[in-house]
Amino acid sequence: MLTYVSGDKKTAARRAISARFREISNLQFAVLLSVPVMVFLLAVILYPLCYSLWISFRRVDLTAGFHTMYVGLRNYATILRTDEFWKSMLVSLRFMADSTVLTMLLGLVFAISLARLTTLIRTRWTRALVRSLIILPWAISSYGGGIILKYLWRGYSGFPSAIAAHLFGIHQSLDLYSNAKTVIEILAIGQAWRYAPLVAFFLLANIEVIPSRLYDMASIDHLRGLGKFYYVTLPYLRYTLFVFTSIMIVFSLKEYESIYLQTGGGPGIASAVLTYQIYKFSFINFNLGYGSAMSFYLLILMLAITLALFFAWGRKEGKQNV
Amino acid sequence: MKKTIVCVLLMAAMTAVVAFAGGQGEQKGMATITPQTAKVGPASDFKPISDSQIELRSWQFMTEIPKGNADLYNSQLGGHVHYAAITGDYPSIMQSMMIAGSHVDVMYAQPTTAARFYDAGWIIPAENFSNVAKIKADMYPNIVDAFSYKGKLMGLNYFDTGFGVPLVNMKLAAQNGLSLADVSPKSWHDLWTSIPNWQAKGIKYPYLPWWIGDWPGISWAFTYEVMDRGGNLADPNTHKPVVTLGGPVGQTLQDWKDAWNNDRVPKEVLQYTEADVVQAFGSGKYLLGSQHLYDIKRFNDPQESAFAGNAYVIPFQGQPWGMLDACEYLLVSGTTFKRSTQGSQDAATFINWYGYRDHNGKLFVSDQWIKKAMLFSAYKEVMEDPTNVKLVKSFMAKGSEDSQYDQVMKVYQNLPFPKGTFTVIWADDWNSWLREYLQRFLTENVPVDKAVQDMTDKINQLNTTYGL
Repeated sequence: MLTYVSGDKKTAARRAISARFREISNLQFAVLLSVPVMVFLLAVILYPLCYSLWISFRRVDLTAGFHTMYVGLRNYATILRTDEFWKSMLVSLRFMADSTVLTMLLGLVFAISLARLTTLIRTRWTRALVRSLIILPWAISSYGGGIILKYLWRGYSGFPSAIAAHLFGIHQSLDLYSNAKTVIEILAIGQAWRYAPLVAFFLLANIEVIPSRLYDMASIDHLRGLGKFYYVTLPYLRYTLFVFTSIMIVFSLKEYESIYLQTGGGPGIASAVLTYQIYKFSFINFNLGYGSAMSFYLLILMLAITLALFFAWGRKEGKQNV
Repeated sequence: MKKTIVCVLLMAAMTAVVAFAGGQGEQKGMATITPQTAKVGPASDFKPISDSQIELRSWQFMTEIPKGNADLYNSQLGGHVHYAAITGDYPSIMQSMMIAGSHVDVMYAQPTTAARFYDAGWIIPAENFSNVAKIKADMYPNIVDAFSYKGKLMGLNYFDTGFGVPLVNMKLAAQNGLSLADVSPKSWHDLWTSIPNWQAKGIKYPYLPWWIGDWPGISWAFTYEVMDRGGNLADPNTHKPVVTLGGPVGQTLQDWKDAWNNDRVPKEVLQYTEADVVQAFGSGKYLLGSQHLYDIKRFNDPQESAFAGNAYVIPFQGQPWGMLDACEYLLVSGTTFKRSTQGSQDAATFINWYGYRDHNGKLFVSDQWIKKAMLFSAYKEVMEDPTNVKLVKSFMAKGSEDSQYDQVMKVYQNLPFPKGTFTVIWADDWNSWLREYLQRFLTENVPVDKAVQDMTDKINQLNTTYGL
């Protein structure tokens, strides 16, 4: 049955409906959508974090059940007094600096090369194949990557020994892991090999949206390769470069599996990064309180570096990006 | 802004609550450990009495043998044994599994782990087996001693061998005009000081030490070398440090430092795993290499070695070489994962079948290990069986089978065992620390006197931590 509704009534009903929807702002709606994720994150991040914090104030004895003793800040204080911690802190910082710089540079080179390849290679399938090959190292797990790199670098069966034997006739085992002075750089090369493709693909996405007319205009201004890169390409990449530098800093500081697999923290403690020490104290020595306390120093270090980077670089890039 | 401040304050309050709650001293244990005093023994027919699954865990070594044996037990006696091998740092992983309450019934172990697990209440010692007197009577007394902790037999025999015994590559020696006598030093110090002479013959690295960074690594090499020189790291009874600068510890450290600083050993060995060090010696590039005694079989096998038929054991000339490596099967108490009484009975039956005599009364598994891998046994019956003697002789260097067998047995019978640092609750902690410390000693050129002091301090600290 049809019922007649007057124009005034229709308008009033519409107003009532829109007024009801106006009760939730866009921000509120976004927050509402995020609630399940927030709950999940609280469960998987906040609980372990708080538990770890609780453990860090205790001495745990696991050999006769699970006994804990409150020790206040003793674990934190003891850590600061050991030279092992400070050495590992320096090793972590060195690994972070080396691998971040290498990854970003390599990622940039890959991205520019891929952009060029895209214009040179006409077949869609060939382009896809090249891109797939480049992304492969990133698709490999840390564990798998660590095993591959170990076989690649190690002495008697590794790549450097084979090259030396075939090209120069030097039949000697060249083990790049056994030099305590350079082992961090060798590990950083591996880290860059794994993460540079990821950086490259994000940078490539930026490069591909740069209007070609900008390059034409740069040509009119007599700019050549480096000039075009500096004045045209780089401004489009700077924000992504900042974001990935931050990500790489965090990735490098928390890297554990591949280092453990390749060198086991050695030789000596030359490659014992903080994550390795945390593992050793927590799961080899089972000094869980001490290991947890050390993990909070690592967390503070990560936050300090990324915040410093944000204030020194990110804030500026963010404003320009907006 | 106000909201942010409120959030920060809330977080701070939560942190404070988390940090200080329960600061009233010791918390009650989550699991109650009861002393394992009840007698256990195998069922008379070796058949399980329940459907409980028995979990057997081992490290990575010829895993097809334990898998095959578990399958055999299951098919012949209706067992429910499930086998899995553990990859990585075995003692740490097993300890994690015990703490986490993972289901493990029978496991491989070394005396270091057995002592720790016994004190934690995680194993039932073999001393509690109803047939322990018979088991002990069938074993060599020195192995019973190595397997014992606090006067109790911890586990049943897996294998025994020499660890870190220098083996000689006579093929390389002959190529360089050296006889067996030329490459047979009388002592460790003699060996280290002979290296420059062998290097003068054109062999870049004549000796491959067991200085691997992986478990069981350089710490074991240090332990046996100190013991072979007549010293010790800790007192076998009190576990107090007996490390001195002028004694075997200081001498060993000095010899090692000289070898490292003068390029007498391949530095990459610190990065090797156990498999790497075995493969490297099998490549035939080294004149001598510290290895497991059982690997003389491997190095005389053309499939595995570049100098097959020419692997000799260094002769015993008064000083021992290496140390006793005694491995055992432990019966897990099951308190952490709450095993049923019938499950416990089945586990006890299985470990007796596996680590002692099977349903036919044979020392089946032990016999299998000596035949397939030259792993010596704690049981006299296996070792003295003429068939096994003949077989072991066939693993020796070609043309010297009888004399080499005698040499191997002489070296084996004189092996020391480090009770002071191995059969003590902190054994695994100590070995983990020492493994890393010795690498630093070499790579960072730590002075010998400082190393001696650091070792003494570490042992004292461990004794204090564990209340010894």
